[in-house]
Amino acid sequence: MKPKSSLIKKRGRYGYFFIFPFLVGLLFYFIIPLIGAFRFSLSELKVNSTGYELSFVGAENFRHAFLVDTQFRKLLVSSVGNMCVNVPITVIFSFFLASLVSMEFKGRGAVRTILFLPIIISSGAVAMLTADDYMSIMINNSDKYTAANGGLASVFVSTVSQMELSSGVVDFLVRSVERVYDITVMSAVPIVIFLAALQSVPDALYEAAFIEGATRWEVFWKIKFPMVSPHILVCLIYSIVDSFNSASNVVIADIKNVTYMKFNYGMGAAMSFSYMAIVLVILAIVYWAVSRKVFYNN
Amino acid sequence: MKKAVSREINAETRRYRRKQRIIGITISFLRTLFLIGICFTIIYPMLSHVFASFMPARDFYNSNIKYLPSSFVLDNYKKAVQLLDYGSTLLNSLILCLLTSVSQVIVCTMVGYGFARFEFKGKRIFFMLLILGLVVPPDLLLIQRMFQFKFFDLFGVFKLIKGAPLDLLNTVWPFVMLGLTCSGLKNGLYVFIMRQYFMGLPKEIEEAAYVDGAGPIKTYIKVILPGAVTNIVTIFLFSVVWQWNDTVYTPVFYTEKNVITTMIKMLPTGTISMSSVNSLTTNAGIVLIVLPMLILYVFLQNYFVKGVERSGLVG
Repeated sequence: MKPKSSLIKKRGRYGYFFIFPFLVGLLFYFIIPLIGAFRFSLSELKVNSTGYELSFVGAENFRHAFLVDTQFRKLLVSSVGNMCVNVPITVIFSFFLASLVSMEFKGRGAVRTILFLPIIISSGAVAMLTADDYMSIMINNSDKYTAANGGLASVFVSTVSQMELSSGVVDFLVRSVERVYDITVMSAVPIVIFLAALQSVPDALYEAAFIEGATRWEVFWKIKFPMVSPHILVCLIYSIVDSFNSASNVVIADIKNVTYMKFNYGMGAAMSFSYMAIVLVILAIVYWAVSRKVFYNN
Repeated sequence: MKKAVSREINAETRRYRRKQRIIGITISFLRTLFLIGICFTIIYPMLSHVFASFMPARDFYNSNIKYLPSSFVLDNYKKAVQLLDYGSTLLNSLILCLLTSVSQVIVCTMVGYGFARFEFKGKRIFFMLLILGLVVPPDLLLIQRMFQFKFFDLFGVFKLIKGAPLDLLNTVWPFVMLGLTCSGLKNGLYVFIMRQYFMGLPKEIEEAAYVDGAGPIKTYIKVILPGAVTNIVTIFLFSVVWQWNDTVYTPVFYTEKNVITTMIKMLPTGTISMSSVNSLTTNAGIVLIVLPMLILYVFLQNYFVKGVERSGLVG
């Protein structure tokens, strides 16, 4: 062990200064509420006229979620499976698109604006307004606006179903096209992150490489890729979290349903905690596996 | 002899150039084709909302009309503006968004720098807790946090002065405070983005500043921040859009004033429910909600253009 110089020690203290706001928030707005929520998960909560009262039930809520509730386990599995398919595609696709859009060409601004659109459309308020659309598409399948709101997929569906193909083929085609839209929407945030990352790569590096006679292919793998790799980690983590925590996720919908519709706060909290634990394990594995390969320029 | 050689070289160069040009044209052709496809996929649902928003009511009952309205009318917009109380809603939402986002961006950038560049005890654990914060479903903490702000007190100070804890709901304070303590919506992501950016910077930049006698704080403000503009704009953009669209905290913390997320209840739900012609109004409402964010993006996009602010940042 080399004794650390006093300069590094002194600088280390500044580290606490820089992350001080985070530490305050961590204590007051994360750990304390989390403990509160954990107490909920171990109790049964009864709302009465004066407020609410908690009665301790131990691990009963957790037991119920996993052993009694048949739905929850199924949803968990399908949610993890979905993530495993979508996330790698999303990250590769968005990296590819971001490097396309970072090139010089006419109408670049317009394309970037359009690629940004899903962030606004698919989050929160607007998503809530359009959520009914998909319901009614499924229910009454009316042809007038179905196509308009289901997007490309439904146009495709009507075309494909007119062709005489076996239902298995149709099903596969429809599913993969539907996925195109999902992936494009999920890619919106990673694209912006990658775009910023690509723009932060100094031009001089490319110039030097081209002068040395490197081909585009080599420049991509030897310069672009390693320089952007810290942000590949960000996008991976983000996409995983997004896929698990978005409002359209089946498990989140189930938790919301249990919490707000059935007013079973304890059960909802227990489900959230077990869900979180699973997501964390997956994240830990991905982070550990990827962060070793990430290149930091110093 | 010499001439023949040079002619041969010329021919070779020409061939090489032609090959390069063909490759260039092919790439740009494929790129255009691909991007048009992707853009169409994204824009298609939005475009249908835009068209529907201009539709007169009679078009709704006409089964021959699918996308393009027979005439463009502003009736739906008039109704939507009235229902949303658009003027004051827009102003309130913008104020709330800007306050929240500015506080979030300042703090997240700072924390990101702290995580990227300093060595201190517990750094790994704190960073893991930061990521954990991203993973926690926001609804889990929502109820607890609501009670914290409903009965807000700083170590009993307010109880001492006013006799009761403060009720901070329906003020902007919960949002600013969550922002300033780095615990707002998706703040972990912003810190992570900034941290990754700062970690990729060459250390020489700061070393040069230290040699010149600047302390870490001065170095951060004078040297590091100006170079990070692209990334700061990125997280600012995310933060504004997500606050604008936030359906987690805003409907709980900020119910009395008109902001977008509390006013959308006024719109008839379901843009395509065949039952009612009101859905046209909702389409107009969607356009009105999306538009400010789109304008903001178009303005901020200039910061994504390379090489303006980054002088002196070449590693």
